[in-house]
Amino acid sequence: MTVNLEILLDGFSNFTDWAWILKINVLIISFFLFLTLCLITLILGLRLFKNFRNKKKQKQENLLIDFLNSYLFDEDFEKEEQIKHFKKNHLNTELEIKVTIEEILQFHKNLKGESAIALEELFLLFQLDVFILKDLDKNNWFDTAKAIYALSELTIDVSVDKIAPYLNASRDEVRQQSQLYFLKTAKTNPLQFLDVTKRPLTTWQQIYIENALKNFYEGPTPDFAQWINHELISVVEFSIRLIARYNQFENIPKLVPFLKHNKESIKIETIRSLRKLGYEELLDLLIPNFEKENLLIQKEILSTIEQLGDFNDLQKIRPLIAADEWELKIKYMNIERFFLPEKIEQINIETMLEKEIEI
Amino acid sequence: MDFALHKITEIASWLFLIYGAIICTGYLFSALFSLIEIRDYKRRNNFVDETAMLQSLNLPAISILAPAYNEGLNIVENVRSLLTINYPSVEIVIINDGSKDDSLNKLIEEYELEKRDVLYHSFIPTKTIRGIYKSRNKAFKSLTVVDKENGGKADALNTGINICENSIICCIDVDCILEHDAMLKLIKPFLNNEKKVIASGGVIRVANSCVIEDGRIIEVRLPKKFIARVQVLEYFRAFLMGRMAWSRVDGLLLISGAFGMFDKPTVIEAGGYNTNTVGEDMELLVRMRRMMREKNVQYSVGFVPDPLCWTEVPQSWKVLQSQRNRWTRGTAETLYIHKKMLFNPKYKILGMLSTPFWFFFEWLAPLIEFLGILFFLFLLLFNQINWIIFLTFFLAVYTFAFLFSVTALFFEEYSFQQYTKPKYIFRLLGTALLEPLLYHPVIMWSAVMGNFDLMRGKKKWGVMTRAGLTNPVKNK
Repeated sequence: MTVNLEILLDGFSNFTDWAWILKINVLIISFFLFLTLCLITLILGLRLFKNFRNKKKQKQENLLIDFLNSYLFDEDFEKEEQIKHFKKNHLNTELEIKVTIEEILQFHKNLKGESAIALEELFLLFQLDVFILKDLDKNNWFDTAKAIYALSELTIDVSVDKIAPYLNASRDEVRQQSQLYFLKTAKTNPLQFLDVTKRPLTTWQQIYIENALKNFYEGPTPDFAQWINHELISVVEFSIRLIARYNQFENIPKLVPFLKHNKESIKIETIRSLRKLGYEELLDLLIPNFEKENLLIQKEILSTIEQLGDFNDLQKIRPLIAADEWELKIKYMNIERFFLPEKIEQINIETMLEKEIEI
Repeated sequence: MDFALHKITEIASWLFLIYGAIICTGYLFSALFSLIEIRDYKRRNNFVDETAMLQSLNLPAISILAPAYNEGLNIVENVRSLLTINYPSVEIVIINDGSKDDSLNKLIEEYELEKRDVLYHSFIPTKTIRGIYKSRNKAFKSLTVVDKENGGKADALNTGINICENSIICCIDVDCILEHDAMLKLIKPFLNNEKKVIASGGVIRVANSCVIEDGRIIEVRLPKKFIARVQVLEYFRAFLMGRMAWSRVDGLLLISGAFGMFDKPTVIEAGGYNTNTVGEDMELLVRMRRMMREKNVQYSVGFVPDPLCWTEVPQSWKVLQSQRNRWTRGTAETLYIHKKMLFNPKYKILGMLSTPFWFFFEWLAPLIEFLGILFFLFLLLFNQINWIIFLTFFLAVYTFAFLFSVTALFFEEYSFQQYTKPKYIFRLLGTALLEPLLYHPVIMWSAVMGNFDLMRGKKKWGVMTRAGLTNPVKNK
């Protein structure tokens, strides 16, 4: 049972006589070892490359911080000459250009008014827009998205035809950036891009659009009702929601028919919006249909009673709630406690009794 | 006799070879898909800083559910850390699962809690709730503490699901350390998808030896102990290679119990966490996915490769063995419960790829490996070992194991590069060299024992003693 080292070494000496299994194993080992060595080299190379790049990046960032601070805040700074000098000496490689774009975007994010406009001008003086437009024309979705992002952050106007096709791009990221581009560069009607939107808006995109509308757009508020008959359900829901967010009371009559919409999500959004707008007749329209509605809409009706109704409205619902609909029952009882704070104890006891019966 | 033995040896060699070749091919594809997914993820997220979204009031509210059992030592600090989570609307539900220590009293005292009459319904049956506590102090208004009879982690999470208010829930271990934007990143798949998203999971990282301040990781360090360090590599492999690849092909079967986000109505509809298995995290996701498939509803499961959650891994061999024993039992139980899915084309990728992979290469692999060792001993006994062949087989397996770890290390270096000190690379390479010899046999043995315990009907979790995350001083 002992290993005879001599036999072992003899065995290794003549490869051609080896059994096929040995040959395969040796090939596999060699292949794995080769791959391992390649990967280790790659890891070390990657680390060196990243460190080298980070050093260069840091150097460029430091240069830019000094340059931008002087450009923006130093009155004695000779702008024209210094821009020429910087462009000639520090905007030669792709990394230098990319870092400069990132840094200008970063400064732009933190500044407003004249300083922001000055940065937008500097961006053009550095001719960084040329670099960005080249990226835009590349076929890579990530370069395109990144380019549109930079253009929209700095509100740089480019031909509509250049960005519009990306509104219906296959990648979410490209679509989102082009939506934000049109919104941020718009002087009026910031959501006009919705007219040509053919792909559904995700909730994430809707949140971004709403935030941008609130924080970047400075023109007159559009009439959101212009999209309530859009072919995309997500756009309809979004515009219904925005009508309420922007208190467009004049659109209430346009919203009411949507209470009978066959799409549940649109119906829910309509109830929420009309509730937020304080539409007084809402409960008269909802309560009679309570029994016919599904659970989600029934919950919305209860929330509406809590906000717009009174205890009498709530009592109308009580016999309509099925015994096993615990989610509704709990919501009902919570609203009951809200309307009758003096009877909380009694409601709790009733609840406990109902639970015992359930058990 | 010799002829028969020779035949047996040859057949067995072939079988082991074929099995090994299939595993290698599987891992090769897994690496390839992971690489594509990581590259894609990096491209998607490398130019927009989404943390500004944390200011938005339009983000949906989340309920964080954190079960606690005998966590008295650190519960106050852990809850404080959860209360500082950066997200606009969050409800924190701590479920005291019948702790025998002073966890509850500490929480009551520190967070000025008082018993409240909260109406709820047990959509999922659970052990009795003794009381629901909320704080008198408005600073802690997002905190709810539920005190209940002991029923295990799954039962505690089910209680949290029944009590919590929001329809997106995030189940975490109470002692997890979350990144500041963890919630935002984890909820994004729910919001940025045209399909209904039922769950999303994040990458778990090893917090041992890291510098922690105010419940946040401020410096990532490589664990000093070999046993913890090797788990760093294991987590790279599991998350950056395994789950990323499964996510790419929509075949993910597991979202870690330490950190996962779920759509509450779907969880309730599926019946909540299964209290009869020790692998409740995997079982829940498989059941949810199975349910959606059977209902023929279009859905998706998200996976975020960013390091979002840091946790302490076992630092003693005994605790590690107990943990792996439990993981094996959990896997086996889940596969048994959902055996109908195995090779069932109705479940598409889950039936034809995910469950077979878990069956053959996660559950069966340690058993086959153990069988291989027994076979080796058998041959040794009958003096039938061809030492050259043995040596080449051994080296082939060893080099593959090392290559696999190096690949995972490359993925980490390519993607997130959390371990920034150059010496860490060499230490991890050294660890990868030793792992197949020192660590892997223990893991294999734990898995074998897990199966043995399962056959004996063992249902216990085992004690998961934590050494506690120490707080090394940050280098200046």
